[in-house]
Amino acid sequence: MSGDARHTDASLSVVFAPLDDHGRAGLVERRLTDAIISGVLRDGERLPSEASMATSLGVALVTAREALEALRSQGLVVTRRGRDGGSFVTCTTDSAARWAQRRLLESSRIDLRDLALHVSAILGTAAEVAADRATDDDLDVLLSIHEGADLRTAGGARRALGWFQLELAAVSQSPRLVREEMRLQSEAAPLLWMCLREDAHRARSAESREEVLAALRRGDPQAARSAVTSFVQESLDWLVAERMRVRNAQPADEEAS
Amino acid sequence: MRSVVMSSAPVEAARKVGEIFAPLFEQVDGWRRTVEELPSAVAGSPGALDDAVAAFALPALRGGSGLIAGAGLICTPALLPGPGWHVAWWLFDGPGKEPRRLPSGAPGSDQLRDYSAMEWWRVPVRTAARHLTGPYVDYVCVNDYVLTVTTPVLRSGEVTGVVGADLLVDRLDRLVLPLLLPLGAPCTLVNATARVMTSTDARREPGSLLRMDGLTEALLPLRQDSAASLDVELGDEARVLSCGATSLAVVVGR
Repeated sequence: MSGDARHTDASLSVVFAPLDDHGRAGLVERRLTDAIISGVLRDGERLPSEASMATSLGVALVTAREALEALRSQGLVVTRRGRDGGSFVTCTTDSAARWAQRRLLESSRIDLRDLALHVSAILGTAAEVAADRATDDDLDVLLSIHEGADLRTAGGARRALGWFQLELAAVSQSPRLVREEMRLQSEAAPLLWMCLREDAHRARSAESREEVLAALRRGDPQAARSAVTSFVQESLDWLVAERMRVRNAQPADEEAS
Repeated sequence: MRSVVMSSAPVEAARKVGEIFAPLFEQVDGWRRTVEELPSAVAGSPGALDDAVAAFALPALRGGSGLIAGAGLICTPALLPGPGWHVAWWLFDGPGKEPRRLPSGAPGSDQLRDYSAMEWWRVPVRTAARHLTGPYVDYVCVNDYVLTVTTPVLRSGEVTGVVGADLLVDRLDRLVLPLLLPLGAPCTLVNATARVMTSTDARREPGSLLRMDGLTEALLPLRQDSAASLDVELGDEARVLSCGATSLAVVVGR
């Protein structure tokens, strides 16, 4: 009985927990920052107008404006007036790398581990279900994304990775997994796939896709899951090592501040 | 079981399933004619074209119950001034609410802006005929499980775009199941790739592939011609019947 009561209390506390509403402008800013840093939005690319951005994100115009202002003050966006005016992404490889590095240092090791676990849970399940539900047409689409991957740059490799994973989630036929995958891509991708800076990991990302495709062709759910999750694990391992390396390279007083 | 499967009841049920889609197809065909008959001055001006599309897309979404989750026109790249694909597409945003326009270049959607690989674009453009895509998770527009009907718009013999509508599987399910349940035999609605849209059998999940000996071969005519008429026996106790011109089929008996 008391167990039941406790269960009810816990459920109720979830119902009436504060809604996640700390600054929608902050959320928009974070989303765009992530897209810029991860290279989904490229240097020099024109952003949609404030009005159409507000519509597509489902926020008020002032919120979109506030987010853009924050991005401008961080030097990630410039706004030009006039006929060919608008807001443009300004992000070089160097500034993107500095940004990602800062975020890496701000994240604790537990944060990183938890993020990787969450990504594994979603992507692994998507891959597992997809292995049972993929038609030949689905395989063709996945294959064409894989073959079109541009592995010469980190941004290209990340775009291919993101698109392939999104399509894989779609093949699982689950709207929830697709939505969660989209959310995770904007939140986790810039950090988790940082290893794609290195040639060897870009090659590994392609190899992991080959493994997924082979597992899908065989209709082998467990192999599909492990092809995805082992790549996530390798990316996490790299990230943890990189964080250690960057921390050790920093002067002690800087780390303390 | 065999007597039910071989009776005229499944034929009747398949026909009625087809009839759910027929008016929706007619509606989309009507949109195609509307766009094809627009004066060149309208068809060549993004603003005027958008108004013409809104004139049929908005009423279809406003008057609806959410069955039509999205509707509009997507033009071939470089047909109109401006970069990329011209998208005049509106989404159902809840009962009583004004439909929302899909932005043509949403931030972060860079990788998705090329629609040419999408089945709802690729197939009708190649065949110059109406096509039903899905069921599939549409992550470009409605972020939900849908069937998409698209039909190519031609001007001077050239495809200039597609008009179409996204139909929520959840809503279709509520219309289709009452037609299949009275049969008293397991009954599953699949597309031409044997993907289950809905089933009276709890073990057949929507989205899964129906695996039965000979089913892929039986469905082959529907992959080639969506209006193909199909009434095939599979083994002793199953029968596959096409549903009008939808490219969908009802599998009765197993």
